[in-house]
Amino acid sequence: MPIDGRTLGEAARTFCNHLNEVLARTVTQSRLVLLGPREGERVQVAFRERGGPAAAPLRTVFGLMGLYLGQVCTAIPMGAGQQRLITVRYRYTLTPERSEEPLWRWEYVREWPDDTARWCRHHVQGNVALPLGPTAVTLNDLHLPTGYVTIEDILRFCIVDLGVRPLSDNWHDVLEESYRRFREDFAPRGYI
Amino acid sequence: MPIVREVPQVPEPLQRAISTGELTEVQLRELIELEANALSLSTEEAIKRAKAGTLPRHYIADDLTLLVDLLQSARSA
Repeated sequence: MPIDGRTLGEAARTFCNHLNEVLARTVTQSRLVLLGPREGERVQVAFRERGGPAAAPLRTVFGLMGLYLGQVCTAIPMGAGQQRLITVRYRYTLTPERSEEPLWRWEYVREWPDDTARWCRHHVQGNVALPLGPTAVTLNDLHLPTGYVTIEDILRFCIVDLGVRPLSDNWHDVLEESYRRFREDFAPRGYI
Repeated sequence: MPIVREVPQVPEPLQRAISTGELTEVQLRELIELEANALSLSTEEAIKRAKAGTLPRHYIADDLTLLVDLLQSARSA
């Protein structure tokens, strides 16, 4: 079943509710909140607490980290009065405790912000030193290419590589099923 | 979790509007202003820097960037 709706808001609410179910069965009870301007053409899905932006606290084997997940979505008409959700922009970050700056930032924009931007639209950056010849650079100096990074990918990374204790025994199946749904239903080929 | 910057306190009426999932443009600007202030920026400076991709590296700035995207889409709708 595609993530469609009669309106952008309806499709986005389906998406948001689905992600919250996945989050609650994998790494956090923190909830994504759907937000959009009245009669706007885009909506945001992001962690919020009492209205303010929030990073979900995750206990990793490397210490406490804050996970921020945020997307801006829009809808494309699919005929028969249905709208299908697509992602316009995402930002996912992981920030160690007592650090202001994220260690990793996964970013995507569907369109370059201006005519001069030519970096990879899907990329990862971060506060990570890179030994690159005689020059001292950090991952923040580069737009290291990635494919489209799904929220499921980030949650899997948190569990497998950062050692976050999963909230259910079948977390792998939850992520696989959600990923399949994303690949086959949520994101029509060519739109990510 | 402890962070260096203080998360903006959102007034109750705006929290209620956020809980409906739908904001007026004025309310969206109010939320942007709160997040901009948390980054020690004025609203206009924050919007300008969000568009230029030069906000501080912080999850509040990431959220603000997404809200500015919404504001632009609301204006073009």
